Amino acid sequence: MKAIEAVQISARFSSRTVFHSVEFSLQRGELVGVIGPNGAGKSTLLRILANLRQPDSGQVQFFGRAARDWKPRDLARRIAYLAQDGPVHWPMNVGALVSLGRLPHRRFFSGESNADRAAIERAQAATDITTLRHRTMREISAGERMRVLLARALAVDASVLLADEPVAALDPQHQLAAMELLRTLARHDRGVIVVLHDLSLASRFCDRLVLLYDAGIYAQGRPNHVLGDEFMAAAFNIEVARGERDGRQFLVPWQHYRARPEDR
Amino acid sequence: MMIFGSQRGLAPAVLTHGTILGGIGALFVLSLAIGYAALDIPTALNDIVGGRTTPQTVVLVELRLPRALLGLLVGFSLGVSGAAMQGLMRNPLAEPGIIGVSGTAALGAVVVFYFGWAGALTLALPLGGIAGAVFATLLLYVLAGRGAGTTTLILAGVSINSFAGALTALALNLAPNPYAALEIVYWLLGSLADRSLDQVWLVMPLMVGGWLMLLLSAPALDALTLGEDAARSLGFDLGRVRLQLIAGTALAVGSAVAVTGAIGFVGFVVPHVLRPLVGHRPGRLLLMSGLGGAALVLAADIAVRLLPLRVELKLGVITALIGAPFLFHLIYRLRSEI
Repeated sequence: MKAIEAVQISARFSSRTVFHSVEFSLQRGELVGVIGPNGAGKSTLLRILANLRQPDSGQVQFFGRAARDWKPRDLARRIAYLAQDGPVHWPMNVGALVSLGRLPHRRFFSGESNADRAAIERAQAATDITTLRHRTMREISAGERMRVLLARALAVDASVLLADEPVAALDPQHQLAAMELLRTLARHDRGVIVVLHDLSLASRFCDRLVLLYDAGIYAQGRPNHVLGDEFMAAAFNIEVARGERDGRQFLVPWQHYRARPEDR
Repeated sequence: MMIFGSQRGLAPAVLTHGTILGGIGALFVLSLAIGYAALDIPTALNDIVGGRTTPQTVVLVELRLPRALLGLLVGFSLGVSGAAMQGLMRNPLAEPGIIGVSGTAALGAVVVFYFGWAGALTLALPLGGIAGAVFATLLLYVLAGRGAGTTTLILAGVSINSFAGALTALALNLAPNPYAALEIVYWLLGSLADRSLDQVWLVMPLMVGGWLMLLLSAPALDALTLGEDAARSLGFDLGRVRLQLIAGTALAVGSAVAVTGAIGFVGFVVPHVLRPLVGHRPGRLLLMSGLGGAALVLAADIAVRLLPLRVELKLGVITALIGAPFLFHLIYRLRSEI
């Protein structure tokens, strides 16, 4: 059974069509990267797949059932969502914030269970924030904040994680660590969808890439295919430089074209 | 009561709640003991137990007890609703009246005054106030709808408040004589004096119902710390959460204003002061803020009786005198944070 399956979905903002006729599915055990230029609808797609926005047409099924057939709380235990630049409205301490990820598992008036504590500790260790847990959200940096929010999403211990640009604010060490973490989740039979701007990370860590461009999925499949020169030129208007290390390809954006492809 | 407390935070939280509860107990007894008519509480209690009606028992049961009970109930209502509204709006400047219920509850009572029904039925005033609060809640839903976001709610609340203010001004303008206008103005200032136990029994179940609705939304308010998307992804139906918070606030604050008039700033200042004590967690703040509100209103109501002035100050005047400078201070601090 597919963890998430979207059939012929479209999204509009008033008169502008963000995308249409999008077919997408996620299996447990795979790490899927969503890439595309600004405004291509990556976050919108992720919000639809997280059941936070209804598609304007088409259907989405979660573990074989439509969203309306799920109790919100049950679905919340299975799908964790990490927003891009998500707000934190009160200066709670880091540990308390991470523990919010356990809310779908909690019964009212009950304290933290052993499972709750174990999940929180695992999430904090995995994101390297254990030493920050007594600080407040005002006393940490933007990158640390992103890791705390990632830990919050991990603490849900869901079978699917949808993460919108989780590595954008991180330093190189923690970028690699975060991608390795997502990789590990996939190896442990979780499904992960991650929106990325870093093409090298996308190429190295993802099983499959989805390139959103031109109001739909412009290309999808293995990273080597999706990150090909033609797709890069068409979707991002860039030329990439490529290299190889330990038998794996990497690429960096090298220069951008002055004119859009249709004018070249 | 611990709402989603971690083990580590348990001991200090129990301690703080215990301290506030002890303080409320002491203030409650003080509130019974202090007043113009002489009262010896042990004698009065003795008479009550013995089934005798003496001047002492009358003072205790008909003057002091309603006042102390209302202080407790109204204070808790304002405190818990203020914390709930700040949590819902995710804004430290929100207060219980933000959704318009206090303005319309006051208007409901003013209408009762204006048409002279207050003398006809002892419970006419609070009933009018409650009707006003119910009307505001319905109007809020017509204006903002079930799926309304925070900004729409605030705008709807502001417009309802100003409309209620306009109608209140109209009633004052058209008042048949200066005394009627003065009576309305005095009532609007907010006071716990000269209320009866009947009024207490009328509003208590409504308030307690409202408190329960608010206290039960603690986990949702915690989740809202992360914004609306994250709260929904944690399994909360935000439409229902908003409905529960608005209905709870309307019940608690609407019935509070209906008996006492508008007592400002309590619901705004108390959650703000107590927030750091609960680690800025909006869910835990609810109960703490309710208790703090009860303590503050009891204390302020004792203060108005102790101040050596020719006339007793209205409670709403005292709370505003304390609250407004606090707001100045808060704005100054917020400004330096930006």
